[in-house]
Amino acid sequence: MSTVHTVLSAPTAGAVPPVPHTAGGALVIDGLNAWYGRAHVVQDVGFAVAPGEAVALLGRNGAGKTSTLRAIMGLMPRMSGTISYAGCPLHRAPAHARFHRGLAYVPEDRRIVPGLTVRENIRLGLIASRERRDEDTVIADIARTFPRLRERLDQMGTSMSGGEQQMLSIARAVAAGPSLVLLDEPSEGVSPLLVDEMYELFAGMKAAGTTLLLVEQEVERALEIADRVCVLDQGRLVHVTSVDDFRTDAAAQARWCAL
Amino acid sequence: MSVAQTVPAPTGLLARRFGPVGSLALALVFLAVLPLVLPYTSLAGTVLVMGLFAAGYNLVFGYAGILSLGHAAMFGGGAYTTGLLMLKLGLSWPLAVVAGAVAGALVGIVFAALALRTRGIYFAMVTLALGQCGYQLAITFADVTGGDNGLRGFVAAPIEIGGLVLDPAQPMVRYYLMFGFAAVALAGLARVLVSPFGMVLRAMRENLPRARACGLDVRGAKALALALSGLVCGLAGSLYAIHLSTVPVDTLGYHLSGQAVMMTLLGGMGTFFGPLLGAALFVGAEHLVSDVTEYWQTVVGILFIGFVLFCPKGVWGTFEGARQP
Repeated sequence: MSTVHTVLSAPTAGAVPPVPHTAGGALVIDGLNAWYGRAHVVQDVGFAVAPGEAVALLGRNGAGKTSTLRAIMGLMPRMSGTISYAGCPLHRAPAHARFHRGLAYVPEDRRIVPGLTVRENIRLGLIASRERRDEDTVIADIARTFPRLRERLDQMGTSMSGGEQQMLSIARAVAAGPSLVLLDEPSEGVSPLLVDEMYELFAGMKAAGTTLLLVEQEVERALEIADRVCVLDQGRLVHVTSVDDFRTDAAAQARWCAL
Repeated sequence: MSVAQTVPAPTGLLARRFGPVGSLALALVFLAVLPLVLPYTSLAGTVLVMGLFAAGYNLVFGYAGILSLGHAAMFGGGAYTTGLLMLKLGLSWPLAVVAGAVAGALVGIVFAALALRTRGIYFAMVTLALGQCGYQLAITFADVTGGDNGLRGFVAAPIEIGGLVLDPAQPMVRYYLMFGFAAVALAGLARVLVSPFGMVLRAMRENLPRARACGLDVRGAKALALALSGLVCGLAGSLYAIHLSTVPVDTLGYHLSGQAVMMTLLGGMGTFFGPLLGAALFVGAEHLVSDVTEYWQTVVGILFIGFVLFCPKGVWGTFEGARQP
């Protein structure tokens, strides 16, 4: 016989953004190419993200945004070009070594690990890092940063709402205090209220010194926190500009970002 | 803002009731009483050895989700190492058993080095081929291994613990000496499964690409899982050598690798107690059916197919209702 638990989400006011625990630096990408089989999905892409900067990577569906993030994290089956972070070349490093360097990745589609509780999902983020922080301290920090997760720590991750799973995905990524976070369409399929909360959190992370590289379909949302915009189209980097210029450039938005 | 939400309760109340310590205690009690309830002590010894083998195999198959078809190489590697060290170097049997376990771990590391470039069915095929390499080595170097006849001529001598002389020639004494080794291995296995590494294995089993996207070193974790699995399976093989006082060449055969899969599935993959129960059911069925017909393998095979179709979580997995350590 199964029973049910009734849980109440905690208020979100007063959330404390996570602080980077690893030394940051500039992310420099040059001549990046990536393939899925024969499909050349990222073509000679090059850009840089300064420490503490937030860069929005925009473009239509299929432009190569997710593939670019996956290539930076070493998760593409085939790629070429150079990637360095804080002066360290990363392009030959396996994916887990890039996490050890202070990078973190929040995949699209709220990809938490099924079969694990909320606490265990967060613990995975901690295990993945080289920094051995006290787990109780990290969980307490996460509970302050993500009040919604506090009451659900011992619940299966997949039993939460989509938005909460997205929060968990972000919590897992920031558990180790990364200095650069790659966010792949965090607002996709999440209620507007939770998206507001999420973007408040991103703004807090940026203010705390975390570098952000953000892929987002909702252009206005991305422009709220970004300093610069890089636009991809058909796998190529076609436009790099400031947020203010992009906001007023209706033609560019219509050309590269209209659905 | 407060939002009320209803979520299902965690499944598997029995799994929660047993927990990791409870599961270990259950496994140890089960093995401890086995020779007292079975008609022959030697049958209990076979269940213990095969249960330990399945428990070691379960670490990669049940917990990490990696199908290996070559684990007989780790079992047989342990058995031959123990037998050869006793026969050729006159090493005391407890030390030879420890060395056999280490040999099993080394075989696991070789598997990791050669097979981890592949995944899924390709990995299974490579492990099958590696397992057969072990078998062929034993046949080819017959002057050392005894070839088809197996390795014979070594005897486990009595040992003295705290003034008490224990003679493995006595079946009940031999069983409980083997039980001591198995208990240590099972306790170690339980510790591994509740450690962060155990959680990494579960994450890999649930979704390998996501585990990788979390920043986990999945290849390193797989290699460590194979080495630890080899350690336990090598120990099982070593104990088998002590149990039989001989090492049949079949300990390296592919059918033994298949038996590990069957015992694990029968009992419940990804459960702590399941492989031990699966070994008891398999060995028991083999014992009972082979008394009735020489085609016992066919009958056991049909039973196995029935279990896979109608009880896919295995006996203990169905009973627990969840895959928990």
